[in-house]
Amino acid sequence: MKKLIILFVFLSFRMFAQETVKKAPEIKEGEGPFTQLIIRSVMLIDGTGAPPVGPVDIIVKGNKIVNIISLGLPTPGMASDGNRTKLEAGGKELNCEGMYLMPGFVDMHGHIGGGQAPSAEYVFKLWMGHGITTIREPGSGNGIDWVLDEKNKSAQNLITAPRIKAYVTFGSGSKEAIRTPDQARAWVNENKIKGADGIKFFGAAPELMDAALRENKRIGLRSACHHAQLGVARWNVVQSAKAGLTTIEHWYGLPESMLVGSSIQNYPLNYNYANEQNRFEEAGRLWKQAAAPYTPKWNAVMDTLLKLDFTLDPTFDTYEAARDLHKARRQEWHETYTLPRLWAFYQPNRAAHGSFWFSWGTEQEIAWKENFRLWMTFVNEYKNRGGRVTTGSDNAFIFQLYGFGYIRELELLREAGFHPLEVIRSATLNGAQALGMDKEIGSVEIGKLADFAIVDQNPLENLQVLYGVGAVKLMPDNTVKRVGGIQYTIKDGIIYDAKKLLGDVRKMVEDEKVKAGFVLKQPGVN
Amino acid sequence: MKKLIIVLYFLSAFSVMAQEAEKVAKAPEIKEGEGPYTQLIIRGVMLIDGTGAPPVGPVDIVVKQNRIVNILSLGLPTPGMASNSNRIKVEPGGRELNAEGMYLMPGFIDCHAHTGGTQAPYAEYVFKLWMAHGVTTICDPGSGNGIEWQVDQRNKSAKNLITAPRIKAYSFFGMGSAAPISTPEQARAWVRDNKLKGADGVKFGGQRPDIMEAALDENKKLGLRSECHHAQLYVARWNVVNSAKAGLTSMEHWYGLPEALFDKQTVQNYPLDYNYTNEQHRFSEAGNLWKQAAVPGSEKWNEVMSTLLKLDFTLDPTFNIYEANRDLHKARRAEWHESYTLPSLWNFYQPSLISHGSYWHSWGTEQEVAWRENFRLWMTFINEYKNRGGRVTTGSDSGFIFQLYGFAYIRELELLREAGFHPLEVIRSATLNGAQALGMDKDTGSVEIGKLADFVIVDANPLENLQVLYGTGAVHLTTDNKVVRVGGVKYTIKDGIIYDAPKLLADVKKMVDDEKAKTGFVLKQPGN
Repeated sequence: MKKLIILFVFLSFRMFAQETVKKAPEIKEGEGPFTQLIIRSVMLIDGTGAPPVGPVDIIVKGNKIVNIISLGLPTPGMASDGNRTKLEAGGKELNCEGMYLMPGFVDMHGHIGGGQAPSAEYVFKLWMGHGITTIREPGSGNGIDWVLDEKNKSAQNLITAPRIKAYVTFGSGSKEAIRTPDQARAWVNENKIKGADGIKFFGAAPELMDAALRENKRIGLRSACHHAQLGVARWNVVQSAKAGLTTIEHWYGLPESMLVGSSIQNYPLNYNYANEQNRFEEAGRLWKQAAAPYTPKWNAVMDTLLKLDFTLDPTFDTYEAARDLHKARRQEWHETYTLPRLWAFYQPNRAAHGSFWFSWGTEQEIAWKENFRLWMTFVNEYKNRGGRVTTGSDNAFIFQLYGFGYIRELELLREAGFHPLEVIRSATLNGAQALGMDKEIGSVEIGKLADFAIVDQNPLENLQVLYGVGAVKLMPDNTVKRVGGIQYTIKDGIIYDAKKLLGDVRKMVEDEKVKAGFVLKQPGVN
Repeated sequence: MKKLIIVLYFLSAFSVMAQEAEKVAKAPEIKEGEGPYTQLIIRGVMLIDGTGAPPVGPVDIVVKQNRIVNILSLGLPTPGMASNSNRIKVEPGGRELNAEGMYLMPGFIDCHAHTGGTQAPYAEYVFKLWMAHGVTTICDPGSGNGIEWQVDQRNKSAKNLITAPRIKAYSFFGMGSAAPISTPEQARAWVRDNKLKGADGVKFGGQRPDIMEAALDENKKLGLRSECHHAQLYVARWNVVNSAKAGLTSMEHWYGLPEALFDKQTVQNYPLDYNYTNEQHRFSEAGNLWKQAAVPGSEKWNEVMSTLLKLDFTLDPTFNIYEANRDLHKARRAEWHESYTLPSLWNFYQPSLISHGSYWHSWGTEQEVAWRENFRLWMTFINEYKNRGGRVTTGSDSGFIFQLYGFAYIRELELLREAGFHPLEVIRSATLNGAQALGMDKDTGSVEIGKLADFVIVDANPLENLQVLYGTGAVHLTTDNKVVRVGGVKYTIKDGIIYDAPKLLADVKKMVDDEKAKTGFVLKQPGN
């Protein structure tokens, strides 16, 4: 969603305005890894689509799962059953009775801050505080060297951060504009040499897209593309998929690949792509210009993508304000978890990306509701026919906050029609597959890495228990409590107290507010 | 939505209502408003007349006392128009209101408007929130404060002795009866007595079929009107179609409609551990109800719709009061709560085993997602009913489930828009349709010569964005990149009297601030 980058890609190749985002400090959080870690009596949702099972004991050695032992249904005396795996000397037991354990979540569209949130620690802790143990950086806006440095530190657990896959915006760092297929291929090879894991595209001339995608695939890297409006009339999702793109980001380029009665989006004649009110408002009318669900054209596009084993990464949440701005700007975590700079960045502004609320009201929101419905119908059916849908948040734009926005994405997948187990699979194993990491992560299986999210409620019954602020629950004595919020995030066998991570974030925000004398105000309120 | 009352209905005790009545303070003597005038000219305004006609303007609207006497089109604005000597002149003692660039609509009608209760025990608070949002007529469905109380406020409002909308007072069926009504004869007697007490109609919650039949019949004969919330306890044997045939004027909410549309079952698919008094059960299962009904466009669906259309039956959906079901977070974080929600009301909204509509025992993704689909199917019916010529009115049912008087009414307009109504159809639903349903369309509901001068005036185009009608306005980015709020009703005119709507809201805010100061109340989100 980085506007600067998008404009640069299409209009010129001057250097990216690399925001100086502060790197994460040396790790102070977490316990472990342990020679032996026994997670006791937890309910397991393994990420593969299997139903919950438990209680189980999960045995981890170092950073690997070595055993998962079903205890059968709980019986009296189970806790002291002499047959249970015993703790070895120097080992650690984590009592998770009554809790649910899932694979660590994968955020497929995770920008590590930027001008609006210039602190990697802030972003990482919000992610880890929500059980996210792996992210893909779609563009590496802080510079590839910067991201690779954080990636390597995270891999060695020198910082508190999820695992990182670094994708670089196509063309970034190039001295001159890329105009020929040869230049494109050269850039792609150079990108690999620099250590990137993949490429993030925004669209380009067809011959450049074609050359870059094929070369990238040939040399074994992966790719993501946001098919921006300026390029989509001549190169849409189907073309990308055929040329070897790994994942489509958001949704642009998908309705355009199945337009009926036209071959170009029905732009009003006074449209200007640089006017984000135009851009987002008209985007809200785009899905209904596409073939209706289950019609031959709709089916043909879907089947083509399915055959190519193509991945959809919808990032529903970052568009939610378009259907309900009031909700988005009033989310209850803003007061405690949103940095003053980020809040300022969200505000309606002709200069900031995603701040397109020049005049956003009933008409735009209702169009977007229908847009969501049609979009969700496609995404859900794609899943039903065996397609891979992943979970990406694209935070922090448009009043959506790191971590919190990711949980909202889970809810939106549920709304699209996913069973909660399908939601969790999308958030875990599917992400791992799309990143080529499924040998190591994405499900709770013996031999895989010990990346877990643990919560003291059943997330299937209510995904909202995963929000850092918890879910509202009325107790039998008629008092109101919050329940849930991730209890432990475990990455590489290291146990992080998720609530403590969020406490650190609250403190960062509070300190910034005091320093700046900031009081959060709603847009237009003095 | 009054739980006490509904429960009382079903369990047959009639003593508690009067206690509640005493707790709501009547509105004080009027201090607000200017007029009426021997002549009032509203100058240069864009007119949306409430009939479905497109905007036209600028026009000059001429009012004498409380009646519209002329509407003069000025053609498209031209230089010098303001000083054009052909324009109608203000007479001595008259008043001009410059409304250039503003939009004028008929005063809004809230067809489902409880005048407070223990959660909002001041009529002034409720009336001012309504008036500040352009609501100049309400129908109190049940008169929970007592029919005498309601009739008193109605009569004072009619004489403009208080700042309040026009009021239609419907009594809860059976209220005030010494004994439970258990025979058709008793039902008829109660209905006759209700008319004698001065009520305008009856609000039903469901009853035994023979009692419903008798009461509706008698009520219609007497020339009174009626509304019904078809509560779950009765709907298996008496649904909306039964009511409509027996002479009911309007159905409230939606219960009883999917049940009339069942084509694969005859009873809602209740889980076997369901208990109606457990509101989490009640509302979460209600969210699974529409998908148990005949699918849109099917034979059964069309047949029920046609039956209701032939009976000239009115639907008053009150979408907004269910919105928290599909998005609790949004409802409890609506930005007006901090300034305009009374502490007692905020407390009442909280999850509770006791308060009605506070059923968030454990309300999350599953319930919300089900309700989104429920809304979609419900809206499909309502929109098509409108498309086939049916009357859909606008009612808010505020004061429950995080929905605030006035603000929620505007949200209802947005939800009608979401259902598929053109904004002009939305405004018609909020004005002329309501007037028709209440039998007031000779006098109010549209801006036409001879009708009463009840208007809403706003300084932004409400068709382009209904949100400009919220008291908190709509967010707007100016061309010089400044963020401002636009809109909020500017003037509410009732009976030719001009009320400064922002001033009414400021009064409300002061009431809330005072109450907070008195009780040391700080608004906190549930569980925090």
